Amino acid sequence: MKLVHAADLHLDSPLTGLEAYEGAPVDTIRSATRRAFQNLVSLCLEEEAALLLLAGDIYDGNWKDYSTGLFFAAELSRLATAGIDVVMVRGNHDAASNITRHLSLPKHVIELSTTRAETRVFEDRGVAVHGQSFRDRSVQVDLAANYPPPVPGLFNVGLLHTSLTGREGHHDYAPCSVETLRARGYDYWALGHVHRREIVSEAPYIVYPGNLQGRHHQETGPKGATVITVSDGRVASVEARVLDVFRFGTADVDVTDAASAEDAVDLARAALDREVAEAEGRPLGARVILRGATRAHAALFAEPERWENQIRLEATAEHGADLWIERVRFATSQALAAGDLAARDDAVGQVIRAIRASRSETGDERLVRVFDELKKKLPLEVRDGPDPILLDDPRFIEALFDDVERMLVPGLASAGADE
Amino acid sequence: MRLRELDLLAFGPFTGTRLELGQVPGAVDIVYGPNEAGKSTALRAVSGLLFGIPEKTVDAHTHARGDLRIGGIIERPSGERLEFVRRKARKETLSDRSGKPFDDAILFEALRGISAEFFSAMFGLDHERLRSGAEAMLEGKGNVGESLFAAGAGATTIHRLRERLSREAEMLYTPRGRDKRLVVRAIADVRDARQRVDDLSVSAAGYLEQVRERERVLGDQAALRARHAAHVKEQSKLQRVLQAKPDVSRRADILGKLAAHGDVVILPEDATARRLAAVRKRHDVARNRERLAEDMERLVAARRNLTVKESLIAIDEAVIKDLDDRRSRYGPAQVDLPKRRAEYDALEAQLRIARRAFDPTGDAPKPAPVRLGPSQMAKVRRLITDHAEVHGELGRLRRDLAREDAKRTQLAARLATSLGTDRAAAVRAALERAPELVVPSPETVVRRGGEQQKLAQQTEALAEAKARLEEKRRDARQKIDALERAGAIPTEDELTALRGRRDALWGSLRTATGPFDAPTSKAFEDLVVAADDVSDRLRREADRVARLSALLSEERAHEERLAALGVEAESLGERVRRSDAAWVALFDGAGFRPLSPEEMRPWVARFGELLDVDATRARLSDEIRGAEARRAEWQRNWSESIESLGVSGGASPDEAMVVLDALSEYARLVEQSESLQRRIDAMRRDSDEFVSVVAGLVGAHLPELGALAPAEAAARFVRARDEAVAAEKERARLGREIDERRARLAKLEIAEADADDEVAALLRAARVSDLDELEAVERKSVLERELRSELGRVEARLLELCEGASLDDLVRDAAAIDLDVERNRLDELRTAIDELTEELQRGAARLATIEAGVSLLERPAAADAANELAACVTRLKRHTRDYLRLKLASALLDREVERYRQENQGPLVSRAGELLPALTLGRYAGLTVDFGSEDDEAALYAVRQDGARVPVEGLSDGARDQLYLALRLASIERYLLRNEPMPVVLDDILVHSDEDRTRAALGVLGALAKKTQVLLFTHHAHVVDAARAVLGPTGAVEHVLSRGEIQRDVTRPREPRRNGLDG
Repeated sequence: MKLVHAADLHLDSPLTGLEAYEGAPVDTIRSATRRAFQNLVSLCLEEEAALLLLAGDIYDGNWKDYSTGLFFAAELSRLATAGIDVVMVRGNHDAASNITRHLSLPKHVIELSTTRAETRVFEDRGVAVHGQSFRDRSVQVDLAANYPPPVPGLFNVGLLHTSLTGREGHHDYAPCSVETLRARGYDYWALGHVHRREIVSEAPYIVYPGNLQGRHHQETGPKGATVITVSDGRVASVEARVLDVFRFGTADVDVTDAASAEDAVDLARAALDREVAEAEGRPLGARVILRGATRAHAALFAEPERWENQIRLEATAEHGADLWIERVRFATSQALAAGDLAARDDAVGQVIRAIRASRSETGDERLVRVFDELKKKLPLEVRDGPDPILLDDPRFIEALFDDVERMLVPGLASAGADE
Repeated sequence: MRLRELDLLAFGPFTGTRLELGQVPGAVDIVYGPNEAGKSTALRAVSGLLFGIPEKTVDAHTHARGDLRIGGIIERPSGERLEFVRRKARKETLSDRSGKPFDDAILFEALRGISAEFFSAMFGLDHERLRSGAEAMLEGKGNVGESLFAAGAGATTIHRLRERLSREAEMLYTPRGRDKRLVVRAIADVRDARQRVDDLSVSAAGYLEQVRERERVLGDQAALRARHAAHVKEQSKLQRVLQAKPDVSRRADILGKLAAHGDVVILPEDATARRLAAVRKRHDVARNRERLAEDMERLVAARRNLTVKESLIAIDEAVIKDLDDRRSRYGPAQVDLPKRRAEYDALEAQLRIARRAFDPTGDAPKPAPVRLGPSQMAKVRRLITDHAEVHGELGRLRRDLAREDAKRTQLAARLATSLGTDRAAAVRAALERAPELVVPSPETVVRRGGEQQKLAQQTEALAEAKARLEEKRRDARQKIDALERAGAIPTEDELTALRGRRDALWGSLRTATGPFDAPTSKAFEDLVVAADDVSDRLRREADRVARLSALLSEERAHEERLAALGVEAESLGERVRRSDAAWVALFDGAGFRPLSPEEMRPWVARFGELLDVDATRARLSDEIRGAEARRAEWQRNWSESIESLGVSGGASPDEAMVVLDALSEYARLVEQSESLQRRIDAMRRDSDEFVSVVAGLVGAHLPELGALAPAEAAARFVRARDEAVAAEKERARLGREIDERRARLAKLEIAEADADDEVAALLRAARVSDLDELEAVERKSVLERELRSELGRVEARLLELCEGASLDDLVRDAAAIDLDVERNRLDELRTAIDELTEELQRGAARLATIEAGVSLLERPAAADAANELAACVTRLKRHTRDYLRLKLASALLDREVERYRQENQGPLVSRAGELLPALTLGRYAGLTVDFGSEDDEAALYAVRQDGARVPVEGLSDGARDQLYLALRLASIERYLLRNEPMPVVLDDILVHSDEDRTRAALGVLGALAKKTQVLLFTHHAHVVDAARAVLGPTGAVEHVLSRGEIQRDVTRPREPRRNGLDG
């Protein structure tokens, strides 16, 4: 018998951080989350699964488009004819969702109660599923603590949307400890909420399947669902199945040895080739990060836009619709920085010292006040998603000053030398 | 730190060139390198030594890249010296003199951590950098902050950097910009995209409302369809019943009639037709039989009336045809005959006239003159033609013979005289016998000539050889005589003779018994002595002996050879004589003695010609004889032929020709006349035959025609015969017609029997006995059949309307209805159904609209818009990030430039102001800072001696250079105030200065050298001179840089070398 476990579908949630440019494969991201979900349903049919377990976050909490729910229901109905039942709990996003409240689901789809933990028994398949949905978007109590005892003689599954004791990059919801889960005596904990796949424990199995489809440069690598094979009431195997249709990746390129910007571009291209290969034929959204103390630094920072375009141009030429350069980050530094410029007792030294001093400035005189006016105009969206603009965040400001220093140093230091 | 030694171990064009620097504290190190001596290479070496050789060095030409080496010694303020060597490599580029690694960190510490760039910017200055620094100051319009900053950082482009940052930032965003900058536009795009997401998002309520609407419409449609169906059903039933009504009535009617008829004989459907056919047939038979009988009668009568003349028919067709042919010729002949006779008479008259041509007198005997046959005529004509040829040929041949005769006479004369007068008579006689004369052929003459010539040559050669041999013999004899005259020469023979005599004497002595007498012994002794003497002389004069012996044998040999030659000459003489005799013998038959063959050759050739001429003459004579014979033959023939013409034998060919032509004409007339006579005869014979044939035929068959002319009788006879043949044909035709009528009569009788049978059968079927009764039965049968058939049709129609129900039910329903009521009901139903149909269509359209709306709602339009929104946000973030960075950098620089100005303006401007008068030779007294009228930023002004202020733009290029130099030097001094000293490296910064300014600047540099090491590289000798003059030996140390050597303390630098050494 096989169970399929997935979570965090975030249907119709956009893929972010991808800016259209000449040659960017813009059509490849359309309906990515929907297509990944279709892959999930097809997987259930192919594997002749007994149950599909969905551990929450079907939709984005603030997503209002009802057609998403209709699509969800329509896809699930493909399972009805094959006799595959679906058991799901609401996650924090679903609890907030307007769609959830209005959507009526097909009969073979069971959404567990929001008021108390409940058990659904599938005698014919020898499975009992325990779980509780989020009542609202922020559940701070340990739901698992109140989950019912296992049904003897059956394969017991706990379905739970939780951050456990906290996961980086994720809000803390329904906090609970691995010990609590173990104490329940279930055979398998089907968790949701954390987007990175993780097998937290193998005895019993406590698994985050990760989300179905990566949506920005921090959700990199293969994405999909987990197939649990049960034999004689015990877990025989737990396998990850890749279902995503668009891949995010990072080409972290060490360009220390680059003698010129062109060299750096060549290195980036080689790294991108590797990333594209890893995407196994899926279109790839790749972030390129150029690092290292390199002689190409000055050239790169003199015309960052030119080199970013160059990388995009070559990526398009070589990989076409298979590659979308999400962003090129220049994180290089000056090579042969024999001395700390800040130590120089001259005008340049003074500027560098000023940059460093300014990053922690406070008060009305601080330089970032020049952005006050702009800050009011920027829409809220810039504060979310990848590479947020957080003008109130001291860490953001510091990073900004770092960038400024990197940008100015080559200009200032070489200004006298070889203009 | 000071640079104490720069050792160009292997760098650029240098190999092991060492500069010892900083030896006199406080003195300027002036490195003089002529133009191509590698001054700039040395400069790069300073940087290379301290900071490493760049990756892309230009100095690896003489030495390979990996072999580049620069050694050096630096001295720290503490006095500590560091000595190390730099090589070109990526890593571990430092080592000590012995090649052991040298720790980078030590040098790094000594350099106080400054970078190559900073060193170059702060402490390096060349005239180009000076000029560009001054120009940057001009661009910034003397902006104090920038000017000071630039001078202070060596960053000449600070103005451009600030401008670029500011420009790029402004392209992205300006707080009050009226035009939409990129960031502003991106913000608007985000808002629009967000709005689109909202617009495209389907609310649950909205969707569910649509679904509910769809349900409602579906329900309405179902109800409408039910009503529609019920109406249609009722309408259909009513229509059926109404439709059945007439047929139901008709059915009842038919059934009533059928019942009234009772039992009826039903005849076959075709019964009436058959009866009518049979009756008609009988009628036709009767009528036809009558007509046929009449025909027969007529035909038989006609045949009886025909008479046929059988005998005429029996005549062969060929006879009739012949008769007709003859008749057709007979008529024209009767007309033609008199004409031909007249013609004949005319010809006879012509003949008589023609005959008179031969016999003008008219008394020639009858019949007409001889008529020549065609072959005879041709013969005469050929003779006329031959006449000219036969006579012409003979003349020509005789002329040719005369010419040949003349030729022979001439040749004979020349042959006779050409051998000399003594022989002329004999030759002439011989020539008379020419053909029989035997003379050698030209070939024989040539051959004989050759033989005689060869013999003559041999004789001559023999004589020559003999003369030579005699000469040689005489020579040998003379030599022998000479030898013998020189003293007797002993010979072997002489010795042999002496020894023989001695031995003989000894033999006699030995055999003697007594003592020897004195003379005998004396003789013996003399013989012994003489023999010995000869033997000795033989030995001693062997040479002479040998020569004598050789000469003697030579003489003998010559004599023998001469004897042989004599024999040979005799034999040759004999051959000559024989040859001559043979030659003469060849002419024995000719009767004269020939000259030599050579001389005879032309004669013989000409004699050949003579023979040829004789041959020609003989041939011509033969031909003349032939021609004469032919002429005689012609003459004979001619005479004969002429006579046969009746002309005298002496008539000329022309005369004969006239007669011949007349004869031909006469012959033609005779021919014509005879032909005409034959024709007339034939015509007469034809006529006679015709008359007899006609008479025969008429007499045999139609005697009544006997009285008619033959032509008329023949025509009538032919016509009568044709009529008889036609009558015979008619009789045969009538016979056939009669037979045919008989056959038809027989057929009619059979048909009559058939018709009778048919009528009988019909009567039997109708169970009646006559035709009238049969007709009545037929009528009833037809009526019955029609009623039954109509009933079937009516019931079939009704059954169709039953639609499953029984016919009886339908009949009952139809009977029950009221037509008017039901027709009204039907109208009502039709209206109601139309209305319902329309309503259903409207509902369907509505449903389609709703469905379309619903399916539209199910599309991921909002999701697509959300992706677009995400893209817009990303772009906005990027533009914002770029803006933040540029703007922050720009603001920062603004602030720092201003701060630098505030902090340094005082000391830097005042120090530069102090340096400026010296550098400008007092043209400018100092520097000041003021705010311009338009700009709110402080600007630099130079102050002239008279107190006037000159803005940077107002300064000459030179003055501006000096101003920048003043600021740079002030900055360096300010750096030195707070930092460890570093060597200042200057490269020909005075190149644009005149001598006075150069001296002034050198003074300033001399002062700087007291504070830190100053290296001044130059390739101008006058700069070196000026330094020596201005700074003196303690103020300046000179180094001359040439490749491979350094000269120190040169009192007089050599003139720069012209021919290039630098690579």
